[in-house]
Amino acid sequence: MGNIIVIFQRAFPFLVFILLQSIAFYIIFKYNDYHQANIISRSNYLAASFNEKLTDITSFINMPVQNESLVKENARLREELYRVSKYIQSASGDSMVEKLKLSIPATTRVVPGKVVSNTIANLRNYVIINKGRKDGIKKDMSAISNSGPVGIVIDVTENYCCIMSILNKDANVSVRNRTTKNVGQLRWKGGDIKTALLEEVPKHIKLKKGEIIETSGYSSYYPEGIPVGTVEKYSEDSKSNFANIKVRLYSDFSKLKYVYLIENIERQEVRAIEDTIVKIQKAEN
Amino acid sequence: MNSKWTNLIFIGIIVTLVQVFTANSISFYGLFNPKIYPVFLLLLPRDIKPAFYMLIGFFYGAIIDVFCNTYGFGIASSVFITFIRPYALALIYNKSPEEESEISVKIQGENLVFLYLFIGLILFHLFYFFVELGEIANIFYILLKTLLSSSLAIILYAIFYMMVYSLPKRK
Repeated sequence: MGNIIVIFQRAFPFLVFILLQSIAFYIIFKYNDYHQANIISRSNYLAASFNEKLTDITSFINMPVQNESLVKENARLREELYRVSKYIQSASGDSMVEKLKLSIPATTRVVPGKVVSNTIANLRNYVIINKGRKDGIKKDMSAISNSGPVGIVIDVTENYCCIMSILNKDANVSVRNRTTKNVGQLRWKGGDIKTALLEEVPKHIKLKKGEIIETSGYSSYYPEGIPVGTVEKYSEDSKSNFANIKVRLYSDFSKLKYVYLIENIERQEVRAIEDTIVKIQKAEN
Repeated sequence: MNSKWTNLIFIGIIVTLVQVFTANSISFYGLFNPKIYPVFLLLLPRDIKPAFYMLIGFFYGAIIDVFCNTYGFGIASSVFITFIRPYALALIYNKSPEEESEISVKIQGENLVFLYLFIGLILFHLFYFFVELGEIANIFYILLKTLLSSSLAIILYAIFYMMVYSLPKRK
């Protein structure tokens, strides 16, 4: 009997180690999955509000740079707006513009937000934004910055939301070539935060360096046609049917300060159809 | 006793702050990802009971995870380092915890303490990056990243150490 107690006493630290390590791995598997990262609920409220105060200070220091990029974006939007309204006016009379405004249903809703905390050094990176449920943020909304897609909202609390950054091993973005419209998947596998890989592009489609890659709108997360980056390197691998393409991203995640959260109002419908397809496929199998 | 603990808590707070606000934004082609916070765990006295020491590691890792959005990786690696510490220390130092409980530059000397911290940080980073990547395939990438990140982490800690402890004495 005494022996058993001695053995137990010796093994006790190891047992504690195994117990604590299993809890840790449970957390890792539970919270690092694409659709199940629902951690920031309570504990992170403290961290988020603390980080927000710090971000206030850093964003004050970065103000000139941010202002410049906002002004640039404003200018680009204004230009686009003039072009569109001019086009409509030239196509029809003034009254037509009014009619159009009424008849075009709003399919997207945009909410601006400020980055509270942002990680870039891990393999699974997350961004926390100071907009939450009270601002109408929902799960699965997409986030873009003025230089490209940022990620998908995976968790919402009252005042904050957590975005799975595209710099995340488990994230992917449906993209296409701007000129030829060939579709592929953009993935990031760690390493350089300024480049990502373009996958699932068949070998017969040759891409040149400098070609623009934009979002395809197929995944119904991101709106169509948002520029993501340019092709940096194109190479072929004899082992697979797909080309290896490296894309240089327009976004610099280390300087991310403001994002726009976009809700695709039609997404629910698209999602419902996708779900039925999955159900039918399952039934057939 | 008291000053020892205030000193340790001070180090703990500083390394946490450095980790959250400085080290997390370092990413040079994804090769540098220094984790400086395990220094706090490594410097805790050796006579703490192993199970309690691992619990400290668990909760400290959890705090770091909340602030760095690393969701569990900090906990796993912190628990690992608290478990492995006695074995790592036995490699370079042969006094038992009963003889000398405290780990400090005053007792063991700068060289030994920094060597010990470096070994501890290498083990920590190695475990962390293996768990984070979740596969053995890129072993050379992990080894390179471990070496570069732990070197940078020990340099960061050395800078902090010099600023706080060495410079004022020279005045």
